[in-house]
Amino acid sequence: MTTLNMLRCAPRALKKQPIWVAPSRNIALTSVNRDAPATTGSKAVLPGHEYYPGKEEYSPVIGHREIVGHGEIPYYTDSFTVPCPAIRFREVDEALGKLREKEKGDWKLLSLEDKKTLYRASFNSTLEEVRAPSGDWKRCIGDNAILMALMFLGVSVIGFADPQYEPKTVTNEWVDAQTEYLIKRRVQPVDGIASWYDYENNKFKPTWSIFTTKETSKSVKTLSEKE
Amino acid sequence: MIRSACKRIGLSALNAVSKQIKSGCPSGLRPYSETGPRPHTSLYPVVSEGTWLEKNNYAQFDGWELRQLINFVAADDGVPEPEIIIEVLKGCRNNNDYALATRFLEVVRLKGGNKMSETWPYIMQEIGPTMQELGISTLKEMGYEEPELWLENVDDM
Repeated sequence: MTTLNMLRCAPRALKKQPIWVAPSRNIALTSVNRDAPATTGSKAVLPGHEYYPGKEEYSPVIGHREIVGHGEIPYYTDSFTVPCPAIRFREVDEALGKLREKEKGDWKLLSLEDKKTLYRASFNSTLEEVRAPSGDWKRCIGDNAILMALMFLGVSVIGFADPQYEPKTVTNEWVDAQTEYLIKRRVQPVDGIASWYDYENNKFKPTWSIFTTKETSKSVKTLSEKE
Repeated sequence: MIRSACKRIGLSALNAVSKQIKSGCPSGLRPYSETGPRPHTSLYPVVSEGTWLEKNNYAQFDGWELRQLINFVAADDGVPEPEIIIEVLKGCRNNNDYALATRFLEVVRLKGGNKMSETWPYIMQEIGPTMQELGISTLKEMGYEEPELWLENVDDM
């Protein structure tokens, strides 16, 4: 199973992209990487581009988004039961960095647009939008209507076929030849056709008459007389 | 580290808020503190004496732990009291996180459920002064009491 799991990394390896492995909790192994992280990690000066714990380890997964909460592998979800996920939604830009500087000051100086931008930077949708109906029922009914239309199309094509058409296996000639073959082979000798045929006198027993109609009885008589 | 964090969160202390029923509280509802302690949700023995203000200082919380506290509030069955809300908003102010404050207010509003029309005006009346002091605009001013954008549901993509 591990070999199959490793095959999942094949596309990335072929493109020479790095493969992400969850950082291990083994203190002996991680202490080597964590010596003096701030000097090696950050380059830019704007807030948000600074170093935070987990920045280098998780950046292939989440990009330049800031980690702000609990979570082994941080991911973002919008949910009423988990309203504050582990990472912010948007990556850090220059404009956002400036907004964050403004956020450290008095909040009364923030305009409504600034406040909305700050919210959308941390969260994808408001909780009211999470509760809002999605209108998926329209898609369901529409898909079903399309399928029903195709069904009606098929029925109308096949239903306008020739009602006078009769398969050849229903004609008397075919059935007679069929019964002749079955009787010669003596199939179903216990409960079936060979049990209704009298082989000594070469004719059908009287119970066979329940399977005959006016049209077929003639051919049956001729069969019995032949054999 | 997790143990110390949980001690500071002290969810059991949420249940020990002062038991005065404030004037203007909607009838038919009882304060969060009177719903009683929940031993099956608290990791530590439930505290029954003393107000939470002495035991915890939510205003000095980290952004990390504030988010954990808000997640607990969303999971718990009740609307938090105005004292708690004020302390969390002060914590957001100390962490310079405006978005978290609005998110928390949305959570508090939606925790009312079917009684939202009774609880939300009462809470706004109680925390209005603090919000004006800190400079947080109400959800109505932001336009977040109704959905603002139509976003496609991830399950339908």
